[in-house]
Amino acid sequence: MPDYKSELFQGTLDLLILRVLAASGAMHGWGIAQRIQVLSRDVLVVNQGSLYPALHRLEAQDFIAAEWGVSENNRQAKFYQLTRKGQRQLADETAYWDRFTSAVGLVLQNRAPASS
Amino acid sequence: MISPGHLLRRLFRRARAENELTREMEHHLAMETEARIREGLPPGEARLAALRAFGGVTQAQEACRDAWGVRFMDNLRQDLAYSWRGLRHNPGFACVVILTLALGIGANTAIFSVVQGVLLRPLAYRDPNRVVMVTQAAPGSGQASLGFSVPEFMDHRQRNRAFAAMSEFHSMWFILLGRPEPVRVQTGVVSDNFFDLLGVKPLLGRAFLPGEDQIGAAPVLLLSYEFWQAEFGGDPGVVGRVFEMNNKPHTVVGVLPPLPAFPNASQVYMPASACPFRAAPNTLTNRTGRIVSHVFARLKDDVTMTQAGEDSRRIGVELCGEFPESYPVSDRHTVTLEPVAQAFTGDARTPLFVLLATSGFVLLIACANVANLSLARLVRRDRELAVRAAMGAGRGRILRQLLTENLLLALIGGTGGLALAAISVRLLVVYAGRFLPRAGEIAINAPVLLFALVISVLTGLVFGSKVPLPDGDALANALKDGSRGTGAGRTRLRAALVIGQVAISVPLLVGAGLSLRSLQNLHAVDPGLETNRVLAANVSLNWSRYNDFPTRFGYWDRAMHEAGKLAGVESVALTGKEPLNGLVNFTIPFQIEGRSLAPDAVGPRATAIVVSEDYFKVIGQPLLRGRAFLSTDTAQAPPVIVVNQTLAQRHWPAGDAVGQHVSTDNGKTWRTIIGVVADTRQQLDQAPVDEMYSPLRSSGGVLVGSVLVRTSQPPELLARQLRAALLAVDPQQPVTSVESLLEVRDQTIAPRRLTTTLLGLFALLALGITSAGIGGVLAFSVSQRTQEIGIRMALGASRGAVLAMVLRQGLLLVGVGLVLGTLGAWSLSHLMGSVLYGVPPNDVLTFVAVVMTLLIVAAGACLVPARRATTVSPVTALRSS
Repeated sequence: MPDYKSELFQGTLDLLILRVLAASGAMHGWGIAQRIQVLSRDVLVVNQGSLYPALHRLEAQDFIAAEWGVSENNRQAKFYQLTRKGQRQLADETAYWDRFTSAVGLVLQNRAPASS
Repeated sequence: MISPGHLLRRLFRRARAENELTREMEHHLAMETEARIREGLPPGEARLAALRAFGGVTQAQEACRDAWGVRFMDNLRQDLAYSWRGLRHNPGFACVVILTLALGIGANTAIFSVVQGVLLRPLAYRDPNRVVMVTQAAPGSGQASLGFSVPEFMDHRQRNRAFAAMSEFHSMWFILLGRPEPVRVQTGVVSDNFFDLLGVKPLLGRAFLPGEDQIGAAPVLLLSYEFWQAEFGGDPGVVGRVFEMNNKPHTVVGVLPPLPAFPNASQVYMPASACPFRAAPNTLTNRTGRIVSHVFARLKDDVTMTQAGEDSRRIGVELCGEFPESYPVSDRHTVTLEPVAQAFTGDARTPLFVLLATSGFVLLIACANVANLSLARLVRRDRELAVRAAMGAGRGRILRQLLTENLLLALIGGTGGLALAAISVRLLVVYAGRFLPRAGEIAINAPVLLFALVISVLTGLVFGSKVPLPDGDALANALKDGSRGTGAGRTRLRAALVIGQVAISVPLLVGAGLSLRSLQNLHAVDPGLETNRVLAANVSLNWSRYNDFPTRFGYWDRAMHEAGKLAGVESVALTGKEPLNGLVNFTIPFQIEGRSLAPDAVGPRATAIVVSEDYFKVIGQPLLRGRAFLSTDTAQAPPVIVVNQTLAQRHWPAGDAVGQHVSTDNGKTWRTIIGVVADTRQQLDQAPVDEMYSPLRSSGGVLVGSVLVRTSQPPELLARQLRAALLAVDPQQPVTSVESLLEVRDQTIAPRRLTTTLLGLFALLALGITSAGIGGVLAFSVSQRTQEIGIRMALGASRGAVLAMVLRQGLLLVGVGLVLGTLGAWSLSHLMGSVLYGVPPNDVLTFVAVVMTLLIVAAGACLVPARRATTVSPVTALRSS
């Protein structure tokens, strides 16, 4: 299981939330968690205790906006939506993430002969 | 970044946000539960599984609130409310802490307001750091400050290369006519550029114009702010009015803003040309007629203090070379500079800084006490804190809450302290005004308020910072029933605080003790004259009306006659110099018949005092040899003189002074010494000086004199009658003051008494706080050890043994503190050397007395909890756990 407490994950969770919201419009917290789990083929299980603080943080930063609505099973739910500012943030974060992972990948490729 | 708008919305929609948070979480749990049910779990288990999967709901909510960015304000509000409730439930603790802090902060704020007003606040001059006082001294003749003659001042003004401007100053009193009553006004006589030099702009009208100090210019006046307010009620119409002074019309050209009373308090200012003494032809040319008492100068922009000092010294050397007859080599003439700010504060600097340091120490002791109290309270609150931690409060959150509580206490204490300071400052100003030129500027102003705020906050942080928080295990233990929850670290800290308090108290008590001993020594000084039964009426004759010897003598003769008629007056005398008033000490050189001096030797000098026949009898100064003056010792009789013992001993150690001849006019007339009187002191803290008395009836007449009456009843009762009697002699002639010699004596030691009183108060405060601290720590320790003591007693320990055990514990701390404090005081006390009298800074008696006092007080403080320990009943103690 991934270590959710790490600094890396916190930033990563923010990125995943933005990504999910960009793809599917307004969603509530539970739905976002489910979608991340499904899209990652059950590899990433979102700790609910960190999901909501992350949502509220993103909302406080105006990357996402929230609105109360009715969910699929007729319940009152808080729906989150990407803002314009959030779209820009997502682009920046994605670019950073690509650079970061490819850099890590380069380092790991270098290691391959020695570890065999 | 969190947007401000968001923050505001959140702040104002607080309740709604809380509600939404709960609903959001609840929605999530409902969705999760439904998902589990779809997976096949029964509804009850599905709900539990959902909760488990979620983790701590409360913690998640807390983290969300943190994300809102309103945590800080919110916590603060919550902490404040919580602290306030806590303090209200514990009023004893709150009162003690607030009172202790109020005293500590109040003392500091009051003293700081004095230091700020007198020492730190910039002078009301433009660029005061560039203003210097030029001083001429002749250490060889024993004169620390000669002043300047008009030719000397003019030479310095013309020859210097360092000053942008120079101005003379001397102070005279004149009688101002044109008011309903004649007013005696203290007049500052200055160059026309004086106020430009200082950078002072008149409030009304104009300053002096260039050329107005030239001989022959029309006399003009500037009024001081205080005189304008007191005498004219602040009437702006006063500008342009004409008053008669010195038989000439003087036009008021302006009113000055409030200025420091330096060099002394002047009611009006006039240019040099308007002063009849300064403008006299003889004064203008006499190189040794040193009428100018102070010379102000402003440095040129590119000149340093050192360069200017060097330049002034050069001019002094030049003048000595050019006029050798005016500057005897033996006098060792010097010219030096002093920054004006330094000249202002003079002797007050050391006592003020001693007081400020002392009040700082008192605050430290108070902080230690409060820290101790909080620690004790914290131990009792361990369980409460543990519960809060278990409910999801972070360590930082708890620490923040405790700090908020301390700050709240400190700020309430600080407010109380400010109130105390405001009251005491008013008293301080009245008292300090007599010896501090800037006492009028002392006030609770913005810097003082800031100071009080800063020390309050610092105090809150200082006594709060040393609180060791319980760690996780301790918290868990605290929750267990019956736990004592006390850590060794805290006990050590409390012990250290007590040691610190005792150690700091020692120098405070030593300082107060040394100061008290000095004051006692001064009180014990025998001035050599009767102070209890003598009343002095001081009169400065209007010289323009009493302008020759017969009229002056006529006034004094009538005054003495009228005073003598009052009921209760035994005898009357006149003197040109009020006894015990050593502030004005004027010495003159004299020659002894038959003794020649080496060319560079220092000639003899003495203070010359004119007295009437009964003077020695009235003030009770014993005649040791020869005779006193008679009414026949007039200008027509052979010239005679009386000297004091110090002078006689110095020049005629064999005791044959009577019958010798001395001259005060370079041998033109020789006067016979007819008597030797015992020494009296001109200042209580200084040894008697050489004095030479001449008879009133042969002198040129006294202009400033004191009518002394010896009374058969307390002299204060006669004060009003004496004043009335003198006014009856000449209603146009004001009486400056009427005071008993006891009052004069008291005034000379007033500054010392103020310092000593304050030091004593601070020391008492420190002693009280410290003993409360010792007692508190020990009482707490006893309450923590009840069980142990019970076991000891059950095993056969006697009450005496328990008492001794507790006392030993307390006195051990006190002992360590005493040793440290004594070492500290021993190395610090020399700083007080200059303000002590008749007692060395390392006075063993004072140190022993202080150590004994602290020991006794501390033992008393220890005794209360120790006795309580002996009353512990073994049975209840063992059961109480």
